[in-house]
Amino acid sequence: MVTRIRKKAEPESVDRKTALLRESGFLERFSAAVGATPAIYDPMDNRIYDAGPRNRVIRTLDDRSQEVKALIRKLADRDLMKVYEEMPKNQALLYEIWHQQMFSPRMLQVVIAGVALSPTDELIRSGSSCRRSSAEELGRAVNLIASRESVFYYIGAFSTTGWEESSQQVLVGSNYLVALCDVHEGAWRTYFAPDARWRSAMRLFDLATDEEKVEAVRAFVKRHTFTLLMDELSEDFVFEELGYPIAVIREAFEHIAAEDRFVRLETSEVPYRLIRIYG
Amino acid sequence: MGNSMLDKIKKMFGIKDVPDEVLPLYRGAKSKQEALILLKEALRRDESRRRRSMQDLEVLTQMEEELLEEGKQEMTEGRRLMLARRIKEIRSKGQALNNRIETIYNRRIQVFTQHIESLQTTVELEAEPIPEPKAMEDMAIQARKMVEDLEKSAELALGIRSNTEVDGIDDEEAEIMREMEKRSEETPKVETEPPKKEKPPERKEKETPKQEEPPEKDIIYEE
Repeated sequence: MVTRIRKKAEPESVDRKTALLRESGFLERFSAAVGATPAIYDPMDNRIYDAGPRNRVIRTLDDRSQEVKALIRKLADRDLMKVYEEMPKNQALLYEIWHQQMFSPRMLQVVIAGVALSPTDELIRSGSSCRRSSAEELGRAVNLIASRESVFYYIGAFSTTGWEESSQQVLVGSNYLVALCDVHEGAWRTYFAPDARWRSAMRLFDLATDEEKVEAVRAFVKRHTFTLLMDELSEDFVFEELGYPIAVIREAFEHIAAEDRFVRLETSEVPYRLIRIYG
Repeated sequence: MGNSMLDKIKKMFGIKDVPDEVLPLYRGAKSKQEALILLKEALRRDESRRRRSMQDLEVLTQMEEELLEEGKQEMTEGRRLMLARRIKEIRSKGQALNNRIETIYNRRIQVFTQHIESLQTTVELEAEPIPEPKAMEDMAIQARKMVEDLEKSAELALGIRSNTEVDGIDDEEAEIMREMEKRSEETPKVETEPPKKEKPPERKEKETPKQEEPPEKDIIYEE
């Protein structure tokens, strides 16, 4: 019997510059995903709406950026402009999908939102932070976005420093679904609360391409030699850490085993695992 | 084909049996050059395996160290026990890896290296072109000359040595030595070992000419 001890992952310290880069990276990837989505399912009336540019209105929530400005004024003692430029702005980008029924006015049906969160106060004060975003912070952002009862919201919440585990408890509401996005060990990952209403909307917050995921798994395996040596580098282990589909992880495993003669893919039992061999 | 190569190798190295590590390599080779390539390739592979194993061993050692540190700080007995079990697993992995390095890679690498060196020398010698008869004759003459010179030098050296031996120790030197002995007797002895009795130099005896005994009178009378 193998003793399973997993070391608690040390929270990664993120500086302003990295946080800003991650935030803009998230918004870029999110926007690209929305742009590539032709239609969106509305769980409220069980219909699929055309999400093309004709029916789409883009809005940004300025309140959150204003909050960052106010905090800088309050906490930073000098170089305020410089600090503001370096800081992530906690931006929120909303894609509103409007639809007009016959003989009725255009109505807002679905909102696809991307919102970024950072530990702003710590980033202003010390220039970096490893504090993960909490369920409370997420709740505030969701309340700000999902303001109308009659509209359904798909929200992708991205934290530049990662999420506290308790955040996974507040991802589902009557008129919204939240996907938690972050960057873990250099890889974009997303956690979706299990809910049938997601349907194809999951793709909106899946921020990495399959090639990127394969690369991310490869890099992950490289960093976890100890796990490999203990015969514990299974598909499930990678799934728990990165949240990528098993098919993608398996593909990456196959690539690694084909390239590295000291690694073999053990397929005699599920979950498949990579093991060390010396030939 | 493979066996004939193996026989050649045995004959060449003057050995009865070839180690198991290199046996398949010689069997698979068609020529000495090919055997050399196969040996070098096998050596490279094993060196790479050993390197990988050493790196892995380092990872295991580092993790063991970290867990030991963690165990030092850990307060709950349950968690400590878990850590101990984990460390046991790591050690067993490390032990297995260490054994592999010692009994497989180090041994094989040693055998491969020896065979590569021997085979390489043979292949290089065979590759040397045979000199012309005239050149060989010249070389033989030169060699003979060198031997003669060497013999002369040896004689000369022997001569020098015998001279010094004949000379032995002169009076002054003997005096100095007596002085030294006297000093050493005068100085208080620190050593606990009993002083060794020095033999009187033989040469000294040689030096003092023996007085020839006069011929016995009886004999003279007899004459």
